Amino acid sequence: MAADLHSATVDPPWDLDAWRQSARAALRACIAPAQMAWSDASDASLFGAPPALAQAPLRASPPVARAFLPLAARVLAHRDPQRHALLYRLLWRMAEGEPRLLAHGLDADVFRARALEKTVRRDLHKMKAFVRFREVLGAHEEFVAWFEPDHHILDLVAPFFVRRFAGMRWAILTPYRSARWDGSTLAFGAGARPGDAPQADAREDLWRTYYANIFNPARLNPRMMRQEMPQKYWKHLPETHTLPTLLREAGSRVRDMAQRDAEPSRKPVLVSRTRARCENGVRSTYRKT
Amino acid sequence: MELLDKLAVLADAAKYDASCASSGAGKRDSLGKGGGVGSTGGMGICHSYTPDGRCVSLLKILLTNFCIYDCVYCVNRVSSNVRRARFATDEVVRLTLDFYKRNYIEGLFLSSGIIRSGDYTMEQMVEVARSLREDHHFRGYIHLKTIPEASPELLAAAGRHADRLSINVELPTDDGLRALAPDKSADGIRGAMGELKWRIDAAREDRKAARRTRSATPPTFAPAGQSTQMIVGADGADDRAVLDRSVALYDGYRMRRVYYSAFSPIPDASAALPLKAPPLAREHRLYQADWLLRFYGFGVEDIAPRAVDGSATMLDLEVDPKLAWALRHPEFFPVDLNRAPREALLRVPGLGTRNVQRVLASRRHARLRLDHLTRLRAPLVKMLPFVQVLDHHPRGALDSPDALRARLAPPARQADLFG
Repeated sequence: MAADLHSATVDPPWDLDAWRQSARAALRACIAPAQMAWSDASDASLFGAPPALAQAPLRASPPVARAFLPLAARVLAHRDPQRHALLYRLLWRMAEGEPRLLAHGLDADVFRARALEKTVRRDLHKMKAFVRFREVLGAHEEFVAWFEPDHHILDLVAPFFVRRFAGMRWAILTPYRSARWDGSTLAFGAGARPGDAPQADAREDLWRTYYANIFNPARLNPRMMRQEMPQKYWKHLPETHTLPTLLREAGSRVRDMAQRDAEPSRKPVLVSRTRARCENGVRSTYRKT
Repeated sequence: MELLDKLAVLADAAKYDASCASSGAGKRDSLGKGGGVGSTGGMGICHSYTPDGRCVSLLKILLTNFCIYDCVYCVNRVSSNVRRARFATDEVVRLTLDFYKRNYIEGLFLSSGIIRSGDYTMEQMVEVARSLREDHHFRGYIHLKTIPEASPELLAAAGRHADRLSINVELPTDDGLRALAPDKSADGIRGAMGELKWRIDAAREDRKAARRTRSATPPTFAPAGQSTQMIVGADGADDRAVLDRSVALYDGYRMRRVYYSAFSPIPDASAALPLKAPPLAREHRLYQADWLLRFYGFGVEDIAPRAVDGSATMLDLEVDPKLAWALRHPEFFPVDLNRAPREALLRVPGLGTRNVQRVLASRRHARLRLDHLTRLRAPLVKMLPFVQVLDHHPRGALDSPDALRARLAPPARQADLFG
């Protein structure tokens, strides 16, 4: 019933502290999950419902399982519009007689939360893997990357890049937010556009060469490749520009190898086994190819 | 030769090594260390995937593909006609740092052909690792392929700088090694693995003791341990022989991983090799068997029972080794997911270690039903004939294992492209 409805606005919508303040107030005011309407900052549809934050507490905050907050932090990063309500439902159930609820992985609510968490974890993992820095021309050891994560994960992932690239200056730009590290401080700022990052890097040729040569055409398995490196990430990865050629030529490279089997070695064992163990004189034979 | 050409040759030469792991190094980072880059921590990261479906985690290259040895399965053997190249040590250092700073890689996996002598080659490889660590404060992952003949001092230096060391056992049997890698010695390889194990264990003990007495921490030695690789299908060894050798390696040298590499057609192949590559499915089944041995409480005899007539023991290529075991042992099933102990749950086809944990945790809260099982994201078709829950019992499904096998085995696929 609308009359009983209370509202809560989470701003920014991925922020654990913002969600937590409203959730704690609602829990202490004994507002059941069905009576709560959660919204992002941008969403004004709940105009008129009294905010849960303003309700007088009827009880002290019940204790919460330690595993809940890290779970909540990751679930909040998901773009699912139901996530705020889902987390509150879990919190409510734990406070209302199911303190060990999170261990019941096959419960429908827990399962849903874990599924959202898993998606966010995967997004985090892929971002750690697929961010590609480009060096800023004319600057010394300064790098910028453009990346489009599926979810609001920049705040969660930035500390990883700080620990790894502490000795560089870098920025990661995404459409909704950006992170900058100047060698001592991490700062977050507004979203950006792809054109705000450098468009090329001199080392990318070397990287593409490595990528083209480390793969074994005799073991072609593009299905596996796509599963682990979905096509939506390809635009961020300089090495994938060579993929069409690599895939097209794999078959003929393997056939070439198979045909060469038949040929006798052009340099039949020049060095006998006893001589091969000698320490000198062998390298010069093969130096020029 | 241009750097770009060298990289092409020396990456191409390294691609037959299966290992790409960058895990197990422990937590380490560059924050507050006054310069340098690099971090490691638990899980490795795959920064890209090549069209063969393999993970690109490390810059995996050879220092040189010149080699004085003549191992017939190896593209770099002295009698092969491949293009040769050699990196200067500082070129490898530069490449590693440049790639790392752009977030292309987790670190370096350096291997090499043998030039002049084992010691000379090892010295060059150790110099790369030393320079990365000491001159550039690099804290990413380093894996060095160790040369069994190298002197103990060089092994010690390698372990000081590297996270992981590996020596390839190359072939499943000593006879195979004698026939295909005449310059290598099985005893020499085992001796060097034993030496690495001893140093890894000793360093770990020293550090533990130092923590107890709160004295200065002694240096680490290959904190991510040692691994090895076996080539499958180049000699006549059967899967039983491969798995027996794996168990000996895991038990005897505390290997972190044994990698199986299906012998792959190489350019300019030797006539001593079989004409055809073994099916990749064989390699896949061996990895599954390896997992069952290490994490599921299976023994080699469970997975690959010796044939009574002494014929070759090969894993079933059509069904995974756990399902194959279950079909040979219908008397063990159905397993009651609400009551069975962990060891029995681990034997259920389609149920992995994670899901076993989930079942154990969830059944404390509720009696499990089919509805719960659908949330496991496990292959139910494979699992249901072997399990019982509140509202499900397989009835007669296990009476005829052959019919069940026919239902669960994938339909025969077209033979591979050149088979």
